[in-house]
Amino acid sequence: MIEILARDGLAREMKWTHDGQSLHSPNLLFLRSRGLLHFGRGDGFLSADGAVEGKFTLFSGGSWFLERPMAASSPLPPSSPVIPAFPNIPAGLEAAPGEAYAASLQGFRASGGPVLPVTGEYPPDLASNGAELLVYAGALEHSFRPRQFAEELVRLKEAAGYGRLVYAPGLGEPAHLSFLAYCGIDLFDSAPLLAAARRGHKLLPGWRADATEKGVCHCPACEGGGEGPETVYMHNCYAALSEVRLVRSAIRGGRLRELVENRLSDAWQVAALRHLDLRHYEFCERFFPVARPASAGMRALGRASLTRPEIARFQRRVLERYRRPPSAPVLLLLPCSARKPYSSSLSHRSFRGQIDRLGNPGAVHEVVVTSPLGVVPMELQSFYPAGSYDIPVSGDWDETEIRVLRDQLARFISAGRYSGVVCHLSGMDFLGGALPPTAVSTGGARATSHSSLEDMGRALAGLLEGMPKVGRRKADAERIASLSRFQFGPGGEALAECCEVQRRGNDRRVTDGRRTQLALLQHERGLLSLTMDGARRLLGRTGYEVEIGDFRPSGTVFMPGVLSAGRDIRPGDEVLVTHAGALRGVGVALMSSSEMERAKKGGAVRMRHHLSTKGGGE
Amino acid sequence: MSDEGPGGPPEEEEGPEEGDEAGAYEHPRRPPQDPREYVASWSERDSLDGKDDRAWVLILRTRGCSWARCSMCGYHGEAAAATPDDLLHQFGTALDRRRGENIAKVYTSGSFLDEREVPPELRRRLLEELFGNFKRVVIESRPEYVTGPAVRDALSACPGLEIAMGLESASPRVLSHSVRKGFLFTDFEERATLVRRLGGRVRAYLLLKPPFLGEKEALEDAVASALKAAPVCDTISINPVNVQRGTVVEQLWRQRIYRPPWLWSAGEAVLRASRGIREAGCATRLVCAPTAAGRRRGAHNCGRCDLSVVAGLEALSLTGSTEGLEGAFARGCGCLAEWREALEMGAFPVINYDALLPR
Repeated sequence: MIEILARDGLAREMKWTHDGQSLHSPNLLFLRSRGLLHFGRGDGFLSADGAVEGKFTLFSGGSWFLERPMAASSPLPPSSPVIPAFPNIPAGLEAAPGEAYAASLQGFRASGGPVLPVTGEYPPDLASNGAELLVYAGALEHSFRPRQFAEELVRLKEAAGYGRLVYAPGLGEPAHLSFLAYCGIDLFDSAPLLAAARRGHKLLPGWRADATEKGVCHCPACEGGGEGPETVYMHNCYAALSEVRLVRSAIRGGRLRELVENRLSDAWQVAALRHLDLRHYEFCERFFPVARPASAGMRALGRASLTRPEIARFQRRVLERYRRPPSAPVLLLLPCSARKPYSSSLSHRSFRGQIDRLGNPGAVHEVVVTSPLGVVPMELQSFYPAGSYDIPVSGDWDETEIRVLRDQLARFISAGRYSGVVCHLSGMDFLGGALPPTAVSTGGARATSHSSLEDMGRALAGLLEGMPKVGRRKADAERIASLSRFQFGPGGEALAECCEVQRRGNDRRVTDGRRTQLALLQHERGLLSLTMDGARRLLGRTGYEVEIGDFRPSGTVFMPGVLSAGRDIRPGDEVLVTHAGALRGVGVALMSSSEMERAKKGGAVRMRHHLSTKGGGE
Repeated sequence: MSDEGPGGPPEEEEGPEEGDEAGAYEHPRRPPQDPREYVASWSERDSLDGKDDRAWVLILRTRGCSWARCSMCGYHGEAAAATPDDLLHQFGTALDRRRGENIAKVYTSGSFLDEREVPPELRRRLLEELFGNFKRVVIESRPEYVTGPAVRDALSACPGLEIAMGLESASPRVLSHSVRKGFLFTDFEERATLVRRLGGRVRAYLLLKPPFLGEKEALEDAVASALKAAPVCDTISINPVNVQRGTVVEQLWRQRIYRPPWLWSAGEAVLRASRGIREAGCATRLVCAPTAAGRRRGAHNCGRCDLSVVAGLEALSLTGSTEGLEGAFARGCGCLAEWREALEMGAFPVINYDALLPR
């Protein structure tokens, strides 16, 4: 039985229980065979000679070519998970043997064991058969060719679904564990730890030290002294074990991508990550949450961060979904601030003060220009990752960042059809080409200096001259409409019709103007949380609906209850729960719609409001 | 920590390419072959009836192997449309270079007994000439050409002829799914029996580590195949697979799915097979002369001990003495433990341990 404990992108923390033993994944299977070095401190084992007492054990042995089943000398507990002996023949090889053992695997699969090797052409029933562990036989070979690795991974995940374990034989160096888990691989083994030990490589996450070098580590093996292969193997096992625990912690905390980027130390990993980001965005993006806790604020520190799926998604949605507030035709481009939300920072408070002094703030559209997100309209400032990200600020920009910023800004300005543009940025002259010729630059050497602020005031005043004053209620409602459309896609703006917004610190309470609350925007969550009344306004208008069977949802809606789900739903999204087109409640999606389509169990939506409750506040 | 894959060191020159394009490799097309020139000819140490001697080896350039599908064989790149006159010319020029050897080994890049490669009249003429010049003559053929008429004809021209067949393995799974040999052990056994009944000698070539087999599987398969073939063979030659150009094996090698066998495995296979053959009461001679030994494309160890194992194999091939090999194992090497570990990893067939080892 498999239980999913936590998700982060394609990665899962899972608990696999079999015959009374359980194993938490991601994890390593330590190899156990009489003639091999033995490391006994792990949680899971891959054994060629009998069960490891009290530990989760998978079994391996025999030979397909020699037509030899597992040794009779190792009696197995009933219904043990056994990895069949099959030759590792890669997909796509023109040689015929691919078919060879496909036939021999038929028999194995028919036996209904929990383990299924997959290689070459997948069996047509892969999605539906009962196997709990898939052995991704070509993983090690594919890792030598990053493009193929990324392609095969997507193929495997799409074919196999997202709720069972995948084992990648021969992979498991500490430096690779976070990346492999990020790819949705759950089990690894100690073979690479052994091979490295034989070659005198002491492995650490992201580092390879020479076995003869003293004092690089204080794990129990290294503290014991010695530099022979035995000591080094034990060290490698300890290092992998603590890394895999860190990986599980990162998945639980929603910070796996940060750990992955921290550990990038081999070229193939960097290349494979790039392939996934750039060439398989459509597939990967679906699994990344739209909101994360503040503790998992995004650290976009290096080049690898620039192509994160959440960043790419934010950029795309700004261009594809977003519409500016109609009454704000004057665009004011502002720099980002270290403090989030931007509006709480000292610099932005002084910008805001300057805008307010002009008497028509509703006509000014404040938009932050920032790397790596591109452009962030101020009303989206709490939306992940805009609401909590950290970037190194040194005033240096690399070509990719510049290109993305320039492109994003040019397209944004052109779509917004602004009547005037004030560019209050400093040190970003490279953006010049993206601005219309009439744009006024006021940032100067320092955007917060008294003279720069005065310049900005003058420029804005000139553009605002003669414009009708936009009332505060209208300005607020338009900004909520823009945010709602960004969150729910076209149709989302229906939420904000004739609404009224009350500010409470960084939060916004959205009502219908007659005391009925429609939604709450909390900076911490960054998304609009709907009430039943708010949800009614969106019913039938967006792709954020989960259709359930005929029951009254409360608590959590579990998988068998879900009939269908809107394509755009991502983990963390606000969703309407419906039956036969009627609203049954509102909640937070726990998985993406792709996963809802495939999963047979597990929580799909955590309900916030449902029919029997009054759709009041939180 | 630079451009290494998870398993290995950066490549040296001539090695499999890293990165995306390795899978798409195609070996450069060779220039057309000259039908007037034989493929190769050399002189090598050998033994005749237990005594040191030398063999004159000639590889004729014919139209090539009629099968040409084996996963490890790159000889099909050597073919040319040679007429009987061309073949006679090749034979003549090579024979001029003979230096008193008593043994002749004449191969084609296919089957000597395939009449489309060597027409019957020419075959007879070559064999007669060989018989007149040498004390022992060896030719090679796929078993389907080892027919009663062909063997009778060959033996009448060259009494005592030794006919070699590339059996490769006695295991049906290895033959069909690893080697793609196109015949099974029983086919070989039937033809070998026929040759011996008609008074000829039989030599079987076996492979050590055809593709997809792990080190341990390969060792076990070679030993088992030698013991199974011994009763119908006068000589068994165990050939560690080497990575030839334009083969499936080469593709796999470039993708790190294949590593040629360790020389230790060759040593162990030969020691175990020769012991087994003796115990079974067979007089079969066992030989092993690895091609490209010690090189990346051939059977190799760590580079320090390769020569001593090769010397042991040569001694055993020439004299039947196992002492040299046993000595090499007894002296050992830093890599001996690594090899033993690679064998132990055979308990986990799902793990391609070869890909994690230095090449």
